[in-house]
Amino acid sequence: MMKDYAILARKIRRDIVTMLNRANGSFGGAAMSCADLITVLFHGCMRFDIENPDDPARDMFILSKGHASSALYAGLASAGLIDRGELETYGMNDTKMIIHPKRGTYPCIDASTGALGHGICQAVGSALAARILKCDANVFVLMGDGECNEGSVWENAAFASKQKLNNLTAIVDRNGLQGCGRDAEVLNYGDMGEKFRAFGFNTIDIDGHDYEAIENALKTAASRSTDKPTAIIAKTIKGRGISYMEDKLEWHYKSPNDEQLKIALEELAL
Amino acid sequence: MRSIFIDELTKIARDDARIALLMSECGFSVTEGFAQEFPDRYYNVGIAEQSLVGTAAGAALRGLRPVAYNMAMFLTMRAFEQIRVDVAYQNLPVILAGVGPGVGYGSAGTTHHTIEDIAIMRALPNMTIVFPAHEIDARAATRQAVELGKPIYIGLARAPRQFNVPYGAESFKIGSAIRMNDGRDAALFAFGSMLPVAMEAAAALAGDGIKLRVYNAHTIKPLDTAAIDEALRECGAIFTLEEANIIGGLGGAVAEYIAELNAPCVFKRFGIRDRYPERMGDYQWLLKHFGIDAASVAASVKEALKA
Ligand SMILES: Cc1ncc(C[n+]2csc(CCOP(=O)(O)OP(=O)(O)O)c2C)c(N)n1
Repeated sequence: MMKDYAILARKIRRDIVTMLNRANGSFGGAAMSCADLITVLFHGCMRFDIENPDDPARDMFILSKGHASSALYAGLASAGLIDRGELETYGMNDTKMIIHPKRGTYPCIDASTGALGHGICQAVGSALAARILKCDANVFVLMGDGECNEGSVWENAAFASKQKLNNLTAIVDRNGLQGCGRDAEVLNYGDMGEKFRAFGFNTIDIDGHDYEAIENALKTAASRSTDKPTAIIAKTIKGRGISYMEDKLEWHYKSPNDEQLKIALEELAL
Repeated sequence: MRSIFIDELTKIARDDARIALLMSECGFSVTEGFAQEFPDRYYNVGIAEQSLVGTAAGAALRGLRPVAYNMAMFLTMRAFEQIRVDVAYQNLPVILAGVGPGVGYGSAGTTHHTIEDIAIMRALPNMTIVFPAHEIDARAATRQAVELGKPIYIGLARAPRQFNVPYGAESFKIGSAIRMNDGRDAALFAFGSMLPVAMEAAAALAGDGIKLRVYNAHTIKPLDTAAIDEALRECGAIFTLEEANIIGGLGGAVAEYIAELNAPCVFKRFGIRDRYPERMGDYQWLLKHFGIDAASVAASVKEALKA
């Protein structure tokens, strides 16, 4: 039976906007864009044991678009992997809840990210190592679509498919906006799925805010029914869930003030 | 500093058709003016730093004076081999403009800090390295970078502190450190965002009767050895201060020079002591954490002079 992802995601979004307001933090658009994906990953797909999060056999997740860390931290808290009170330290002084996450600071922060285009390589390396070590773990990596501008993404995608790493799932948060404009105005990647298929991936196109579709796609990828890695192209809206943030470039940078926080929490009322 | 740089570049571009501004997803709310005025000389290559530097080098092959503009860490480190082979080795007139060097991106964290740039960029033959500390420096450095006609890396502090300098535009010359005062008890060489910190430390030390001479060492490479000679002669003790790893930085450069003089003197490097922080905080917090805020620097100078 499907969990009540909608409620869980709403709570995560409330935490995100609260964290960003407190820390005067950026990247609300990026976090809201992938909040639903992270909700389903941690509540309905990843295999881990809250009592033993360091188990090397657990599934692994790398948030390659590290700037969306507020969604990751809120997701980890929602899943019980970190104490929700810790969220108050996000982006503050003397914190380990760093805006671009540092490996080892909390359970399931498996790689230090923030420099775009690194996550998929480390995910592929981990998936390869899992196979060498005969470990059953799946490796998930979440990338931005702008991030896919980086050549390293494609260099590594070719390697992943050559190695038939079907324990690897790359999720692309396809919100169409990046740091200085729309993908269509910058490099115009067009059909992202087509590109990953050209590099030897299975691809699944979904609505990245449709919980059932997300769950089905992740489960299909994790079932390893073919010998290819999977790319899930999740069509999303940057800033999703907060009216004034939705599809607005400036919310890559801006931070919600007290008034904006109030509006957001009203819109996200439980 | 970045807005001043872009503003000056825009003025230069009005008279110099060789100027082109290339960036890789950086410059939101900073570069729009240039883009509007010169739409055919402004390009976003996407989030692709290697592509940025290689493309700039290619444009320079045909005689343009391209600027590759990006955040300092991604520019210098993601694209380092393009900088080495395409720009430095070919000795091309590409201006590498790095925004927010040091720990200017503060609480964003280590991925967004640039504490290694001085060491790696110094190691490149043909490369000039300039870090303006003041608007006067930034405007002059931008013009001179274009005239230089060779590879240059300019570090543009993200949120530079406002402070007064005792010199005018005519005093700024790439390659020549600027003496900020005439203290004679010791000399402190600092650049970029660390210059106002050095000045503040000097003011604090004055209260203790220590007259610290400060140099604006805006050009880290080529090193102004004449200024070091002067400081050795007139002050005896030399210190360096940088918002970068002390390994291979300005301090390293000065140490290399002094060591080969076989003229022992009091010498100490202040900077980040070869580590990544475990915890994070904003810019001021980080300076304190690394012991390179004005109070810590003043205390370190005192300590070193006592020894
Ligand atoms: C290597 C690198 N270059 C540039 C940046 C600066 N940067 C941070 S986020 C961002 C835009 C990312 O866009 P996208 O991948 O589409 O993610 P979104 O925020 O839209 O989810 C940029 C350019 C970076 N973090 N790393």
